[in-house]
Amino acid sequence: MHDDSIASPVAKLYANHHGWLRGWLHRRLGHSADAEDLAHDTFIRVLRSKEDVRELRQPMAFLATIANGLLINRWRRQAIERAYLEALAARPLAEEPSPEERHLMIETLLQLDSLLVGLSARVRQIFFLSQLDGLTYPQIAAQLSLTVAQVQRAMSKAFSVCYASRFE
Amino acid sequence: MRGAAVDPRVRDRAIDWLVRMQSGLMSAGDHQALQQWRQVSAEHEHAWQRVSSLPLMLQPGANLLADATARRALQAAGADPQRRRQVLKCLLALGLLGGISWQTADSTLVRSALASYRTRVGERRHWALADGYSLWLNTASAVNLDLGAGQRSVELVEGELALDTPAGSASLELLTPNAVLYSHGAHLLVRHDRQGTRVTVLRGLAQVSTRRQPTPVPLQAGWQMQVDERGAGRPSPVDRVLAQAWMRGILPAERMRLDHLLAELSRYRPGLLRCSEAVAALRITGSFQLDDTDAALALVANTLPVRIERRTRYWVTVVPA
Repeated sequence: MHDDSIASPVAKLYANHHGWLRGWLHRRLGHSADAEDLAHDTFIRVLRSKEDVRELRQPMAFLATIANGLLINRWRRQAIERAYLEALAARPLAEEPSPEERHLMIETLLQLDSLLVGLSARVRQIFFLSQLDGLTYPQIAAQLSLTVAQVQRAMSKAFSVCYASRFE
Repeated sequence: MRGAAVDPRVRDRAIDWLVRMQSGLMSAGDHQALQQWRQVSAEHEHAWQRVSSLPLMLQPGANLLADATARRALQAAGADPQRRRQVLKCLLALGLLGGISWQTADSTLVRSALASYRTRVGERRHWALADGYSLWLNTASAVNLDLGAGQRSVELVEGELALDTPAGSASLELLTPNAVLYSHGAHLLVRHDRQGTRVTVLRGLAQVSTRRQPTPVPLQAGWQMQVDERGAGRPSPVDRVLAQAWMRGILPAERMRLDHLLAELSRYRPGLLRCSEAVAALRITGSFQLDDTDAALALVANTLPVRIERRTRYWVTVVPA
């Protein structure tokens, strides 16, 4: 048994729930080394958080919530990686980027993606046509067979999400 | 980049201005109106400063999107319903969404007045019944239902069920070999095995009577009670996430004795699953998959100083490593 007077609350939490959390993550990831890493990251988040873990009434739910956030980030990364590799594969024959270039590209895409979190592929397409190609709203509407009001709504949504990602 | 929060109405107005500014349709009059709006207050100006940093090309790394491949990837990675479902499933698995939705894709709508339902070893099923009743059966369970016009009656012959009845529905009688329960619009978990009947109330109230105690004892939401030949035990509080874990195919264990864990796991697989005396009292913490008991056993072997001995596929013993 652990000596409660010496062990820090987080150490106690770790001792009691680390095995469970690792198992939980393992089932979701299907990979034990990744599960170990994420379980570790979860406890690092706990250490950094201001939550008083002695007050926790549902320690498993608390840990699972944090781990879930990390899992969602991870899925995001996988989604970006997959999308990038698919886009690479769909390209007409060209020189392959090196592993370092790929890594940098994916990191940067992930950063940009975090500004656009939750936006659908359609809204992103409209946003890019405006922001990268400099098209006016009537031009975008004509290209995608939409009304100008629909384009405007998509732009408003995109900027609201960017605002929330940056400032809220 | 965090600072004083901006009033949401001012923020939304500033975003409206930005959207118009980016449209390619701003007139000289619009520019003037924007100037005026910014000069109304320091807050307006602050909000405008913020939103004017949002155009995509001002974001670090955005020049990368000149590369068509990168652009296509970022566009395709947009949220899709598939992924949302995945996240939702994960949240549901944790019970983090408050109420658990009972509608599952594979549920069957059953409208018969009198029917019996059964699951095989390792099987877990859900039925959406008439009048919004929802029934789950865990592994190796059997239930007789009579949801006719008069008294509604459910008989748990063996195994484990979860029954959710909508608030305001007619009174329901639930029978097990040890107990009789009465409830109205409650959400109940009931399990019957050799140890007797365990009743858990997740919502509402159940009146529990036994052969020995015909006068019903009330059991409130958030409590459970064990009933056996000797009568009803004392109610104890229940963790609703853990109590419902089986519906998500999970067996959570917190410092559980190994022999208890194996007894639980053996409900979900055919054959014998035992351990030697020497390791029976070892404690284990973990979350085990009910749909893959072999993986659960492998996890046990990884966690404890034990070894899994398989005489045949259906005869498994856990012994000291």
